[in-house]
Amino acid sequence: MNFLNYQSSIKILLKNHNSCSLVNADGLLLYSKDLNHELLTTSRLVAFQIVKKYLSPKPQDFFVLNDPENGGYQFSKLIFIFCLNSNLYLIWDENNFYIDFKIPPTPLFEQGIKNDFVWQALIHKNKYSTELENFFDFQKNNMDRILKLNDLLNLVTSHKNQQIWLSTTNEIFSIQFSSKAHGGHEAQYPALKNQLIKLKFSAEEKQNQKLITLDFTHTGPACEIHAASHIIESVLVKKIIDFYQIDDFFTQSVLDKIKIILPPRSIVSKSHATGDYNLELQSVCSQLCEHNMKQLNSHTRKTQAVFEYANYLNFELSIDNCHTTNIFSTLHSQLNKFENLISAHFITLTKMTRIDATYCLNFKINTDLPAHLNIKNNYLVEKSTNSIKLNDKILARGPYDLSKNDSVEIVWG
Amino acid sequence: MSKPAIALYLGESYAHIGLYDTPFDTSKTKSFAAYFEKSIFLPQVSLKNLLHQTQLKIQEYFKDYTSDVPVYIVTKYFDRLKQFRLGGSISQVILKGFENSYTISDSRHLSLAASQLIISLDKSEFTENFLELEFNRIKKINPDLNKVVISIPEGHLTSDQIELLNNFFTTREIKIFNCTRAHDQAQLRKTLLNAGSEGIKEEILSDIKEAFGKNTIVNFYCNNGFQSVFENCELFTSSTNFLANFIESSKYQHGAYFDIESLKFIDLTKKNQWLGPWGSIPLEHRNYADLCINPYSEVKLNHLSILQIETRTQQLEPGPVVAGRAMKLLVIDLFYNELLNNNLSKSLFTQLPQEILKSKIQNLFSVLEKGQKNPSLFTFIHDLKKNIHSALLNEVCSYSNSEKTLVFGPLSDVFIPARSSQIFSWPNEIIATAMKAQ
Repeated sequence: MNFLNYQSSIKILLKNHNSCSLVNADGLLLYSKDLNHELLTTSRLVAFQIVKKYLSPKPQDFFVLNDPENGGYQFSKLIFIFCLNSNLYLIWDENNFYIDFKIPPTPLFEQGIKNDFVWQALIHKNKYSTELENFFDFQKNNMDRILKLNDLLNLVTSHKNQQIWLSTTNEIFSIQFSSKAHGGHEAQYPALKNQLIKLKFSAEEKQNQKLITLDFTHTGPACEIHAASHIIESVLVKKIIDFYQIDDFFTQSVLDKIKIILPPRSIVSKSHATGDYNLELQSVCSQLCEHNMKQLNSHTRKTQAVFEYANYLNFELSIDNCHTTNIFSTLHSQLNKFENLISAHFITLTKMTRIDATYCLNFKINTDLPAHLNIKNNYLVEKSTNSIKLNDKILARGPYDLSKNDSVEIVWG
Repeated sequence: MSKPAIALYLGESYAHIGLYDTPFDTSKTKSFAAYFEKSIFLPQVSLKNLLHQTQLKIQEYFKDYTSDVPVYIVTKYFDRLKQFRLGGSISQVILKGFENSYTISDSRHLSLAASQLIISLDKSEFTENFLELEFNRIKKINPDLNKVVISIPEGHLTSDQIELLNNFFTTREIKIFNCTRAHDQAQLRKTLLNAGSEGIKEEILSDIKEAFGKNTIVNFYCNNGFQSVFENCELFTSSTNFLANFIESSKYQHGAYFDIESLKFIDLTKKNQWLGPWGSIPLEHRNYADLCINPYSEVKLNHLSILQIETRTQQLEPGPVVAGRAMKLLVIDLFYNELLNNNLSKSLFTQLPQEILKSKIQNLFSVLEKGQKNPSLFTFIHDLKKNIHSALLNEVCSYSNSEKTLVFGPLSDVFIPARSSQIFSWPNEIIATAMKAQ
């Protein structure tokens, strides 16, 4: 077997998933991809370890969980674990905004047989039972499709092939590690007043051991804002594999070379009951990590280069059953399903422009149906004109109920 | 009385034409013999040239025929636009406060109109003088500007103002594209795409009318069969809709299509939104997916000195090495030996049997093979080819979900030799479908 053959086989198996990880029975990561805005690689691995430890999965067992305090990300982000065979597990995540409650690790199917009790409690009693049933059936159908690809599964499951693949990716990491600068760099960012997030990045080779260390020592203790360690780790490993250009070869061999030091019960290690700050802290840590790596590898390196955080605005707008997730950043705007609100006449646009890099989006609520706005991050920065206003009043992070004729104005640039 | 008809497949990189005698009884015959059939590789031979040759054949075979010849076209040619931002010669008339609104939903998509060519209207300031000033401004930016998209929500202008607006552009020979639902951003994208692809459609029509007469009725295959009146954006799904129709008429639910320029999996599901590189557009079409490998993708050494198939870009110009001129190896070049026995490739790539071309390809692949620095990451060219075969076979299986899949297309014997395939000839299928509908 050629390693390219192994890689293309995994890609065909996982082509319907944007955010997933493949692990073997020993918990070794064989492949991972994160194409969504939220990054979950290590969260998925934690979820797998929890299920493996407490529920001893058997072939065709199918689990779901979403508890942000136990391996999850947020309630609407469902993490699925499916045992493809005794040496292969697929873990993936999908959004479902009808779920707004905690789901501990729960078996949806046991050895391919539907767990009627769970479906009754989780799905059939729900207000949106039809939508949820379709959603869960779709996830299971995807697994049934994969189970039919025997040749591919056998190739990917084979212990010998896994060893070849892991050893190849180890070699690829070594090549790329050697092509980048060695040494260290650190930066910090005040998440709140007097609450610093400090990150020191170092890439070193000692006694033939190549190691990337991300050290958050001296980061402030958790108070208002915090996220679980696996949330932070997910974004850091993603940043590293992108920077070292090994995203197609990201396996346990790479993961073993990354050491992340997180002070206990700090901003970057204490889980949050609803995961409200996950994306925000992922963004900060991702930028800190990138800044450090760029500085370390820059030919015109400044010894005292100051880290500048590129802020963004993340808000959810939901009217009746229509849920939208929206992001304005310095690089781009991404309004997921927002146009559905316009075509359903739930909102009336009064302004929608993009001139140079400045976005303006103004709209009025046009319905008596329940409407909610949730600003997910602290986007407000001193001396910035960026804002989101409700009836001319600037809004901060948090949830807001909207009524008919309410006017929302967003300026971002 | 016999009457000539032309069937043309106009792909991104090649065209295949057939000249037929009609009508024929489709209930009695399933296959039709073309009086004349030819395929050309577009980077080397122009469409105009092919059409001219066909016209000469019409004069030869249909001496007494004096009327215009109907032309039936299935096209993939518009996919060429997919790499580009559009709208360099399109102005937009929109309400002030809605500039570039269609881009905000996802600013990563390619743009469909140039920001500098926008005329923003404020109802209170709207006069002919204002229009004149704005028009002069944008004409200075692009003197070749010849199309305008008008997107003003209903009720914002009086009927007199709308008439003034339309007359203003009509008298200046600017083609108008109206967006009827101005606040519907997907609809606006659709109108902009119709305007942005007008030029390429006009070029094709002009070539055809120059060859066969100005009154020639040109029918493009759209969602509902061959039509002479359609929206330009419908041409982006012309070929996949036609292939879906072929799959359906062959009594299958889905099919895998193998061509020189695309490998696709197509099913009969209808979708209402089409996601192109410019964002989502309301366009009913049959569901399809590109397979993991494109024949025009480059085979190269990546940053790790590993043999890799570049997935992002397609090298249509100058095409593959087998076409004769290129120096960059593409996926299709890996299948040189198989192409020697393939009818379509033999007619497109006339230099194929030449010994010198064979050595050139061998040398180029040898250079690639030897360029791999790390012995443990080494891949033989024949292994890469084997990987492609198995990946395509596995991917087709993964889509078909154990149901039977129709395997067809001019290069199915090259890319998926393990599966038996159905005979498929573009001109024959086009003329059969066109005649069936009559």
